[in-house]
Amino acid sequence: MPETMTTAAPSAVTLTIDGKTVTAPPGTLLIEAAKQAGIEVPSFCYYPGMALQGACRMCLVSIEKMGKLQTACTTTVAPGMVVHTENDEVRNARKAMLEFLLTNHPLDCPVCDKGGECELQDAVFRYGAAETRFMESKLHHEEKQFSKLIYYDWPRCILCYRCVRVCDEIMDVNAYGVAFRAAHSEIIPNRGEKLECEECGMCVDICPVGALTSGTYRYKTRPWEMNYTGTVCNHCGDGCKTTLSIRNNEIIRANNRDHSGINGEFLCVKGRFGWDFVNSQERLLEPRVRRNGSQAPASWDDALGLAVERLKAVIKEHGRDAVAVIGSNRTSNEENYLLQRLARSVLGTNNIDHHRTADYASLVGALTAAGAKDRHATMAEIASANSILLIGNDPTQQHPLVALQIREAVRQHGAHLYVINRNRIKLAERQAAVFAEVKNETEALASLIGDSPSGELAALREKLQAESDTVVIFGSEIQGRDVQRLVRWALALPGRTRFVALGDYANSRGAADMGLLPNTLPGYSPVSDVAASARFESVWGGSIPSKPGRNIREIIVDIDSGAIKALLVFGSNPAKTFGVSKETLAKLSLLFVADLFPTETAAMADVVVPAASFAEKSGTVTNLCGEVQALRKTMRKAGTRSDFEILLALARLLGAAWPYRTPDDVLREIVERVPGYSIALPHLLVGGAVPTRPEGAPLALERADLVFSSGDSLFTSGSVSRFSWALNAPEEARRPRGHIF
Amino acid sequence: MKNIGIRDDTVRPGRSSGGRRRNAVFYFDLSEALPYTERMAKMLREVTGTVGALAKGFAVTFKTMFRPAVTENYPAEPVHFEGRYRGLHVLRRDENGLEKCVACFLCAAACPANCIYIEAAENTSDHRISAAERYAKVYNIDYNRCIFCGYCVEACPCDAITHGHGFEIASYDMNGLVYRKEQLLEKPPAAAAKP
Repeated sequence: MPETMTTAAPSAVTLTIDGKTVTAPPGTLLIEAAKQAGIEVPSFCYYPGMALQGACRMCLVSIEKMGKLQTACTTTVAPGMVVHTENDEVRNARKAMLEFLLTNHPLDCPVCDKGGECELQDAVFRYGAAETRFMESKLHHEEKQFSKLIYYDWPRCILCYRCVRVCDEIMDVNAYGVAFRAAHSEIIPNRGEKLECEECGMCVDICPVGALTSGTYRYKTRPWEMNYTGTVCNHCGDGCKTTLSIRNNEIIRANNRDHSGINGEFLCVKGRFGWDFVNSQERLLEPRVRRNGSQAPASWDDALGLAVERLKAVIKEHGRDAVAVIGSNRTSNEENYLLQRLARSVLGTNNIDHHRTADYASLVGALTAAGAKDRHATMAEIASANSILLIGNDPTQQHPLVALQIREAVRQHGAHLYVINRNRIKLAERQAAVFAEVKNETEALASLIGDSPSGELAALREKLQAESDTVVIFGSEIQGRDVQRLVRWALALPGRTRFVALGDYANSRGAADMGLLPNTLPGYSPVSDVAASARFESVWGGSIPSKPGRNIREIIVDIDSGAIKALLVFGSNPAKTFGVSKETLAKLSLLFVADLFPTETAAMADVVVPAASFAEKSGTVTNLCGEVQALRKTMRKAGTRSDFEILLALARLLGAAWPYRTPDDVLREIVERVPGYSIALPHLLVGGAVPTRPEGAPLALERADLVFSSGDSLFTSGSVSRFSWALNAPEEARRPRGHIF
Repeated sequence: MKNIGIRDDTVRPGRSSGGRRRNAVFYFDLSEALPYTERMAKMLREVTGTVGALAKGFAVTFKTMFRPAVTENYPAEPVHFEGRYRGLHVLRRDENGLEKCVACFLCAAACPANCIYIEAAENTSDHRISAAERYAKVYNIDYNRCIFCGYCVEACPCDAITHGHGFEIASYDMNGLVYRKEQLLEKPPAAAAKP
């Protein structure tokens, strides 16, 4: 059609696919253009975002004026092209290709884990080639265990090389290769007999057939037997959307095949396999109360009654300042909000803190002071940035999704990565344009923004000056005044800059946002701010103490000195994180712990109550970029109660009449009252990630040892990972911290 | 009154019968409406017709008296079934005595009453239950709900589940109607050989 060729704008190509007129930018692959027009061209080896392979020949289409059938995955659109994706010639060719794929493929669909969600099965259903014409017996190899979590069944493999490419290109681990030739080709681990990798399971997820299977899901059930619920992973702070598959109130597997959320289909080893702590036999399932020196099972009424009785006695005898509260990095925003309400308006103390893993207060304060509160980068913006400055932390180990976004930025559109780190981290080794290996990130920052940076830092600064769009990512190494200095300097760079602080856990950001801090109300206003206090007092009733409370280090010191007599701990393990000794904890009149597991702190408690895990409750969590996502209740665990219910019960017993019936009621109050959290609920409820824009003028960071990262690896997750089989079983879990795969 | 013997229930007010008499009940017509000969002829027809019908009916009765009985003397004697009778399910074993079921869940998927519950597990070399990689660790059929439609048997790719001829499952306890794998499974060949 010459008309089309002359009239089409140079920026768009018009072609005809199955009679439909389709317009696509030049360079678009035919398979993608067809997808946009709602026409599905089947393919095994083609996968969006990865290198083209052209191996499976399933996407053959007929193009007029071209002699032979063409592969839609490698052909780009051309003006006036007329394409047929479903005529007899194409159907016959696809059927023949399927017949070839099935020459050695066993028809063990009833046993195969992929049965029911297998792309090959679907294609055979569509084109019909299930009856083989080959009389020869099929080749067979025994199944191999590549690792504790990944198995490989050679006969089922159709050699699409998706696993090889996803591991190399997307994960940058390159653990797989192909050995031998033709019909004897075989996927093999690149380093020895066993896999030596991050065990992310992306290869299992992306395998179109049942060749690569998961060590935790193997032969347990079938896809149609499970219930699927989209929720948010509870390990690191990245906030990956995950779809939990539930059968009989037990999580069977986790993946994100619907590509929803900020992470698409990506999950790391913790997200894909590390949920099994929820099913752990060691979960606390009944309240325990210490009587005569040892803990014994008790009813909920007894446990909460005793806690409240002792709390009242402590307040009566030693005053409200003798009570302290330690919150969690993993509980939902609603629970954190209620916890600080309990502390501030019911117990009447500001002695509330949590393990801060990044200095969000300083970041929000610095951005507000600079009038740049919209400069929090979202997770998607990391991948689309032109340049990234990474100071401290090791995202590959601690924040796999952030690391993926950085790698994608570099791989997909050549973004420049600048790394300042004391260790030779993987991103520095593999992706960095400039890597400044320093002794200490704080000193390096001072040098970078000072008058005369030295060596690599000078080169780094010079290049950053030329960038148009930079995302600054920093770990807990940069805190307090350094955050302010960094923000002020980076905002003054010629290009646009945005910021991300890397907090360790699922709701580290939310804990800070919701005011689990001794001197800060929800939304980063100081407790001394009368107007901000009034904002909450008007709904809570009573008054909020205006004197900043004790931070977590002071709480520990004052337990020892005897000034603090009652400590409430929710989802935290200060005995391990802060090294609080048994002797110190024994000085308390009341140590109340709500947790999933018998941790070191719970072992010392006077009252322990079993809390529900992330899979067993609803609510919202905020990831390290400040994006709010909804947790959905996917299952029940007999014996446990969510922190929301525990807090409600405590408040009731302490004489406070709270109006909340569900976490949604609390969320509504948060949206109404917390600055920056006036988010769009519809987007949240359909599973979206809604960015928040907190602003406030929090007080300066009290001391240097309050903000520190746990330095988790890919296979650890605070106090939780030790109760997971999948995070301890792989050989790789025993590699030294910082090992590069 | 004429034709008192004919009770016509088709002619009702407001209903068009089209003049056709249906559901008419016939009695001997003793009225004077018909001539005598016609009345007599009619009566004789009635009598001969009735006798004929009785003879025909009793002919069947007497003939059947000399045929072998088709009813079963249950429970005194065992019941005989057609081969395709859909009774209590039986889970089959293969020639090596291994369970045929590979826990593919297709029976459970096909079941319209949703009465089949399966838990699958993986075979190991020291603990082999079925010939394939997977076997049914738990296989329950809830006979409270089963409608014996046979879809499960049709769906089974391994011919593992079949209908047996068992039917005596009535129970006073609903819980007893959830049959477990051990109850459904065919006896192993060695055990079956023993008396």
